[in-house]
Amino acid sequence: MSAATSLDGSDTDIALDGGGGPGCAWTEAVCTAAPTHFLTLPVPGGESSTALLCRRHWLASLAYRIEVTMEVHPVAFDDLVLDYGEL
Amino acid sequence: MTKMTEAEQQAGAERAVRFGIHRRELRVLLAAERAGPGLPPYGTRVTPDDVDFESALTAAADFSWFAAVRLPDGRTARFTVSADAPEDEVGCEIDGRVQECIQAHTHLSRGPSAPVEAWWDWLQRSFVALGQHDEPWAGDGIEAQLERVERNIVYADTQTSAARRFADTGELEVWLTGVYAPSGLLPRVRRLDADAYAQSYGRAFTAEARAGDGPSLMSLGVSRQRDESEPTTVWYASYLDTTADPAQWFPADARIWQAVRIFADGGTVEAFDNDRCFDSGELAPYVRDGVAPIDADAWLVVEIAGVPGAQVFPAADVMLVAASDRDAAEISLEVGSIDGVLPLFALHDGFLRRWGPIVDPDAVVPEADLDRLEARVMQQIAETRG
Repeated sequence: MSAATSLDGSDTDIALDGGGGPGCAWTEAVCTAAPTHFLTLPVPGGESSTALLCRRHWLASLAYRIEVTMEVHPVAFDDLVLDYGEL
Repeated sequence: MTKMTEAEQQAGAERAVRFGIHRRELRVLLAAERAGPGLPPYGTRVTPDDVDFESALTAAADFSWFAAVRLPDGRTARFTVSADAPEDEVGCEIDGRVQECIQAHTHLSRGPSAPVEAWWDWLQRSFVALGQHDEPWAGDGIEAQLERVERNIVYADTQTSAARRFADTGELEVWLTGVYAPSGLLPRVRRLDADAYAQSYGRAFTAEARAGDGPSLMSLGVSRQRDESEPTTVWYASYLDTTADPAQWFPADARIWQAVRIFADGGTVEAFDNDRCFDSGELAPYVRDGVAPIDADAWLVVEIAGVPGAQVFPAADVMLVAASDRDAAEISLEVGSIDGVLPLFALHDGFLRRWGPIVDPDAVVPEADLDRLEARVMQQIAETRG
């Protein structure tokens, strides 16, 4: 199961498709805020992808990786998030 | 007033002892929630301030209940003491009606008695009120769908359940059909006749048969990409052995073990990945037609029309995660052991309790709070690097 499995654990939610919308790339709820921060994440095959997020969801994305993903998978933070910061 | 029998007196004395113990347990639990570290489910409308310890002192002279909770809907819950319940468990009545304690995620019932923290958790989860969204992109209507396309928003729905929460294969099929309905794809759930299967295939599970070419159902991964006309099959070195202990079906450290993921358009399967499934044709003679009960011994067979291969698993300890994503253009069923998956959900729940206001689209978060959180997250990142 990926870390992206619905954040509320159940029930219906509406999610943004992170692929190319103009708004914040947060996928667990609709966020129409303008992106101010970025996350560069590894994708299988050695490539990477960069997600643009508002500050609030950028923080939540970083925290989720530390508090959930890294607890589940034995992986270093720097292998999970290649780069992050303000735009 | 009739005189109490000795047995009644004894039960009363036992309740009096438990009355005191459970009050203390609940006080400790509520104190932890008030002061931290105990965090309630984000958005719950049941708080420690809603608990009334006093009225039990005057009204429950027989020690039959030890605390009351004023619920947001105006009803009153009472935590009850029973000399018959296991020592560390209590009951719960709402307006006099005995309740069943339902676990998160599995939706399994613990029955009418459970530890007081399990009841408190259940009450708090039962009254979570988050914002009701009436944005133009929400809903099933054509206009909402067009609005979503325009804004690059998709509808997603994930449901979880223990397989054995359902009384029979029909109930499980209805549940899956509900999750997958927007996709137009039809799931079918049947029960394997495990005894008949074991009798004719049993010899396949001897070492000799595995070494040779005896008949056996091997675990398969069957997939087809959008640009392929024929599916690709891989074989796993594991067999369908219904004589083995169902608890051994999943490897000890496995979370989600088997899964089927399907991409569809208007009810037509475009691509799929059916991992750790079995050949439907080989299974066919051993699959019971019609609705069959789901009990501790049941082995279930789940197929989705248009996708080759069947997901087979023992019902006893299985968690199902059924999802529909990308406006139902993608559906999936993940199958794992309850014990393997629940710790994952617990981590997830803990995150939501801590980060609730940040991930709640309706909560206003002051910049100063974000400054503080950013400092904390940066420190956490630094700590991961030792």
